[in-house]
Amino acid sequence: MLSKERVLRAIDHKSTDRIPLDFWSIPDKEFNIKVMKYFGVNNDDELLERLHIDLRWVETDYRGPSFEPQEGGTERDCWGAEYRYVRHSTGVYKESVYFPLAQVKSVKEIEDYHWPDPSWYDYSVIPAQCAKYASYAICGGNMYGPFRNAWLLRGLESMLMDMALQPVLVDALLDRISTFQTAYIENVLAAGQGKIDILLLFDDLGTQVGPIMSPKMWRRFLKTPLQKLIDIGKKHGCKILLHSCGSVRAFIPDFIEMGVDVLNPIQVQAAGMDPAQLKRDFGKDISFHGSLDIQGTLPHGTVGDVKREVQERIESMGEGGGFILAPTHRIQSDTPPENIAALFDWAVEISR
Amino acid sequence: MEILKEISEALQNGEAELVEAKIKESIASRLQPEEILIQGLLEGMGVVGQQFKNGEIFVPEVLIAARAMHAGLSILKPYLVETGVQPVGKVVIGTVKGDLHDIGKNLVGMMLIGAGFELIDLGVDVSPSKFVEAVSQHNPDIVALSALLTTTMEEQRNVIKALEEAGLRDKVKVMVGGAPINDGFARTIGADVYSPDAPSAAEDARKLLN
Repeated sequence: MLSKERVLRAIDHKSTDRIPLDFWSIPDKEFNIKVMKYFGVNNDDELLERLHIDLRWVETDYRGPSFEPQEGGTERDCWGAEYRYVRHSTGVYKESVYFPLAQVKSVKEIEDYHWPDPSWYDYSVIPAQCAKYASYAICGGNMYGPFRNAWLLRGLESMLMDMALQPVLVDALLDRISTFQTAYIENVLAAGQGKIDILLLFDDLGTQVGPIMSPKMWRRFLKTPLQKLIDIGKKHGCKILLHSCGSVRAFIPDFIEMGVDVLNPIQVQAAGMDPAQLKRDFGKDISFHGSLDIQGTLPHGTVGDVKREVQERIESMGEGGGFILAPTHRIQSDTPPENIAALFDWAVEISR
Repeated sequence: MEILKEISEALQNGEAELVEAKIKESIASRLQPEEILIQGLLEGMGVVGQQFKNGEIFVPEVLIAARAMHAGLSILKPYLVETGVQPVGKVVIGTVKGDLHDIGKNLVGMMLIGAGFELIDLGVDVSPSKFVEAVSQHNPDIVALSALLTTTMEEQRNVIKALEEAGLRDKVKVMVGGAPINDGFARTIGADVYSPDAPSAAEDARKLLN
């Protein structure tokens, strides 16, 4: 069975030859080189192949203005946000360090801001990537949803307070973001000419202990702009894969209603995110992608622990399809490569 | 006192200007600053903490309540100083070295102030030596350490080691928290308490004082 078929059949709750697999790593060059060396491969494609990964991403090329960092970051993106790669004991982590709209007080300032332009991206590079990855399930978009993009600009605490205190400002901000996001996604999926299988969006709504905001507040501000992106995906025949980490159980009925096909990453240590219970309560109506714990098992467990968890997940979440096994977030640089090998090799071995 | 209840409710609703106005009114009415603090502001934050813990309210509501609390405290502070009101204890808090995440730490900080503590917030990416320096300088009752990532949680161990090496470990209690932290980890590194959320951290801190 080709990877593409394996993934799409799983999402449709149909039987597959083995469990489909996915892998996301962090943008830490040193760690990725270390992992590639361990597996004896030379680049990302070879690594994904070696790990039996069934999904691939297609990306646009950025051809717009370049941006010099101005406020203490080492990188500035087209939104004006800045980042630093912060070193810790085992590697680096990319951190947001500057929020360009943190100080704005008026709708006018929001409207006068230098918003990015979807025409800054070259979409013509997409068909060749789709051809290259034709046998895999192809993810496109790979973009922040409305909430994540909004606080990238405003700062997380400001954004959360704004939703309580300054709804007019929030609506203006989200409207601007939506203008870019809907155009960008439409352009990406149109360029894919039906070959992009999955629209992938990232919109974190959970903390370790619960939703970061009330579902009521989320519905007031953020459900509609997210729905707009989902609708574009559906129009192009895509499955919708939504990343929303933390404790997001409270939003799942809404996600199902909105047409989300697959929920990622199933942060199993977060409240309400027990995989077996999620499968029991929602497994008929939505598929799951993730669930292999990176907050404990993958970095700190033995190979035996990893294998046991792989088996447990395949048994609990894989029942009746609707499951793609993957780590519960990007694998961090404190993860022994043996554990990465155990995760994917064992999954293939026991699910064939 | 009715007005103290009004302060508590205004705080719970995140109405900063109303809290300020009611505090000024209660001072003008010759209420004791300590009473205003405890039955107005801390009472309100106590309710907020409970509701947050129970999942009835969420981070935005806590943030705006804390903002209202800070607004009230700014007005009240000189009167507290004047009447010799002491905080219940002192906490030094920070996110450990290599970690820039602070919303969890900030929520704990808000709950601690809301429980009557004086807070010294060292910010993020705080090295063990900076924690040690802060303990020497401020003589806190408690040091509180936050980490979001599995790749930075080990730094909590390094802070405790640094306190030991400086001969300060037995002068403070150490509290730890953050998404990947748990009881087992806290015990392994020699911390005194692991708190799973901000309201629990404030309760745990009060218990540590006894």
